[in-house]
Amino acid sequence: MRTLLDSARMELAWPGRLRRLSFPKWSWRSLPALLLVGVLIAVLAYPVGLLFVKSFVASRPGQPTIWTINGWVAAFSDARLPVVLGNTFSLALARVTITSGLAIFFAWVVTRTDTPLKGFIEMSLWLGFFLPLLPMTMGWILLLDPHYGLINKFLSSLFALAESPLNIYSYWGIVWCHLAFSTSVRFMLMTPAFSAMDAALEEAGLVCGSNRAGVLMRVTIPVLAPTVLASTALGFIRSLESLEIEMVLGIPAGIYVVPTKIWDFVHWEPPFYDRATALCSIFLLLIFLMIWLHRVILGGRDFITVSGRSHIVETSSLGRWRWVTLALCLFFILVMILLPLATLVMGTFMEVFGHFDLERVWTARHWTGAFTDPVFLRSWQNTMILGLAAAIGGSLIYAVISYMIVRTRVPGRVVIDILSWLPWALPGVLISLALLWAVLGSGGYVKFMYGTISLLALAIIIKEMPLGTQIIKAAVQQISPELEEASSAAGASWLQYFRRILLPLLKPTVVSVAIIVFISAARDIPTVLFLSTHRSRTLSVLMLDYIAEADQEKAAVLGVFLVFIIFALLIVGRLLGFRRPSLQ
Amino acid sequence: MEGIYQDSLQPHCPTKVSIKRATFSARRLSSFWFVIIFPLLFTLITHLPLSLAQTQPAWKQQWDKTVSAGKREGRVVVFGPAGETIRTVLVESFKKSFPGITLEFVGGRATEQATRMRAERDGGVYSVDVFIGGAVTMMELSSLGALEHIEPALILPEVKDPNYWRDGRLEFTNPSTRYTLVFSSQPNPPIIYNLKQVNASEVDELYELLNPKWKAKVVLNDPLPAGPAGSLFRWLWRTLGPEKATDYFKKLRAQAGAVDRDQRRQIEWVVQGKYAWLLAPNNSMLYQLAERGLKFGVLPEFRDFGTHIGTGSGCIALMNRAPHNSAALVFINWFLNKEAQRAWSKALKLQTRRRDVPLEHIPSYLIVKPGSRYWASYYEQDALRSTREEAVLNELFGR
Repeated sequence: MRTLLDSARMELAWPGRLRRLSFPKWSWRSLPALLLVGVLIAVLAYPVGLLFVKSFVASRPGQPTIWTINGWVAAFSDARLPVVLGNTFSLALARVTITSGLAIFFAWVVTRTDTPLKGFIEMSLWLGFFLPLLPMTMGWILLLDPHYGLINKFLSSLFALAESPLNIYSYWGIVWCHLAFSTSVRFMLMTPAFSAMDAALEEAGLVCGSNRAGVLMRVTIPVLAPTVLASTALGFIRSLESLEIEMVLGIPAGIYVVPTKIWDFVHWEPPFYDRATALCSIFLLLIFLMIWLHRVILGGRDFITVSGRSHIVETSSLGRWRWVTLALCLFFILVMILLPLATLVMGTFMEVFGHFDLERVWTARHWTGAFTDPVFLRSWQNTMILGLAAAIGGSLIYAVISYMIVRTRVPGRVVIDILSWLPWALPGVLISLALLWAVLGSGGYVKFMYGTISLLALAIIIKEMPLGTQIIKAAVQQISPELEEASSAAGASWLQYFRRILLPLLKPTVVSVAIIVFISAARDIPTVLFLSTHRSRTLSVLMLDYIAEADQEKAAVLGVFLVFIIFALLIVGRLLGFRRPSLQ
Repeated sequence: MEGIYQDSLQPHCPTKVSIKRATFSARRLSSFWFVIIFPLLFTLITHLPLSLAQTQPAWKQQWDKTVSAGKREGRVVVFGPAGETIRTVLVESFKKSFPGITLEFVGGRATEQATRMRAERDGGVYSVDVFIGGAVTMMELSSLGALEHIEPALILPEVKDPNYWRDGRLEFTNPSTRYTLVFSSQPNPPIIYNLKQVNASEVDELYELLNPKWKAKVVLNDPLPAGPAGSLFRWLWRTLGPEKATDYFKKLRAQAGAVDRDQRRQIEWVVQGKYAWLLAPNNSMLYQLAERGLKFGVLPEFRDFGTHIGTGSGCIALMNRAPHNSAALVFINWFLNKEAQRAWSKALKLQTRRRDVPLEHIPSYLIVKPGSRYWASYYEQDALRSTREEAVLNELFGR
């Protein structure tokens, strides 16, 4: 750490506040940083590399290795692939365009305006993120199925229509079902950056004669470009990889996407992991393109919004327009979040979700059954341990990595930057498989992790690394190096600076990321599929048991239960004093 | 469970009978003979435990030894199908029978579990003792060289004796290698239908499904991924032959209003009247949903072609290099015993191949009927599609 201090002192003498701290090359003092690079290569590059290498191997265990490109040829010679690629990109673009607009609007309303009920709006949008995707889609199907959807029936009888006006099994049905979750997650990621922005910049825009919308488009959004771009990249790649809703709604409509094809290969009997990996290379190429674009767009520009000077976090007055913004927010929350949530909760009390013509329509047995399952308690404990370990460990790791990428000249930091994007190239099930191969193929000092919760936590941390790192990186870019220079000049060590200045400033972003990681750990089935055992079974794996027996209602009970627990914790947290700086 | 085997031991215990006879005869002996008999009796009594043990049936000695060794190992790791019912039935019943051995049951999709086991073995890790799954997965494990011959693992007479099993034989997916034992198999109903839209007589012959009146009104379970539809299409391919089957598949595909993979939703669509009938429904989903009140008609077999028999997850295999080998043998013998098979069958409503397990809890369409035409889909030589068949299905159903 002395190296950093020395470098910081040197920095003070250099002009330009964006100049990065530099490590002496190959000094033993940079060993901890180099070790981190090594660890990241081991946990990221090695498993992913192994997966790609194995996609070229066709031999059985114990037999001589046979190299082949058959899997790749089979994957890419499919005549339907161009159509599938077209569907994938088109759906992702539509979703990203719509959710970008919505998320920026909500983040602006909540952080930069005097719209009433901002706390309620913010919490409701967080709730939108917590809702389990598949059961929510079931809720939408119950409302919008062209054959028996309740809204369709209502509209048909109201307007005496011969055909149902709405069809959930369609292109726009898929986009619609994604809106609540995708908007919420991007809202969560953008809000901390919006709230940390100095209002003086916006006021300067107003003084110069621009209106509110002009300031939003020409000042607020450009200044927050790192966050907006990172969240857009995240949204785009996540959209490309989205599977659940496309499986449920896309297949009956004949809309197939790349993840559906990957799912096909993985679920073949026996599975074609080589073909699935080959298709993932599309995502890999895309990610390299994304990294390049990211660097081209953001390179050499200054996005600092948090500096040593005091800054204003006041909100702007919208006048009468605040009721319009409130109405728009409430409409979205009511239609996109509360309506399907109510349908979902109702569904958990139905004998068979959506069937109102049974002899016994209502029941509480899904709830009693889920909570009296002999393995429930242990699964709950495992989930909590896994969630906390992944959330705390992951956020700290992402923060350190982000700092290294943005603020230091550690050898290999460019490699770290690229590596941190890598898990986006793979769906959860292949990350799980890659880790399984990597851990079991390593020495005994690593193999001990197999079957433990620590390996599950590592899998989740890896899976969420692109999201966590890119978002925290964007937040670090907003913090001026002046603060580090000042702390260094005042005699603080780097660790003190990290713990007492950087982390508190990053707290809202880090907490957002931690919550996302926690939810992912609690809900993600594919990423832990190959790694969990009898002893490390989590609630998500328990859900799989219920789904296997056609008991989606019971699986939804666990989903709803998790939502309420986490939401209750959030409310308690807020009551105890955790708020975003802008709300303090 | 241990008690069951002791009860079955009693009628076959000749040692005790011979001791009683010897004692009774001794009272009538003269003193001369008494002088001779007494030392003999003395010797017999002092060596009684040893003599008894030596005259116990060999299986009993082997079984006692295996159970003791299993208890010392303390646990057995079993990979099997996902599902709360099956997990609870196995774990709780086994705990009652053998409290000294913990059953660690890991449920999941068989293909994923096979992948995992392959990775373990590549890495020199041997954690699994017993595998319960479908025939194709077992074939994959067998080709990896991961299985042990299961017949020598069958110790209890009521498990080992073929007379306790359907057709008077132990069934294997490959009768020549005999690695994988089929303990459960049942007919797969080819069609379920909406009771308001379809009369069973309209779809009870194979080619009636091509009637133009069903155009766009039917849903097909996707034959490409693993599942009951794959098995049904393989059966049709083998039964009709490549030319006729190709033609039939094309026409069937043209009839479909939807080709779907969500095996619960397909059934719900038929119940709700969205589609008239569903080809190749999932067995276990059928009974689960029927028990919860959904109403639909089931065609047990085609009048002209019968249907296909599948195992679902009804195959069991012993892994080689099993870390808890004795406990694995205890589990296998317990699991294939009448009581455990009855518990399995009652929980999953599937027909076990044991003859002494009652059938009254199983829906009639899942019971093998004498005189019906069945094609067994679980033999290794029939388990995989041919290249041509694969190409045809990919062309018609590929995405």
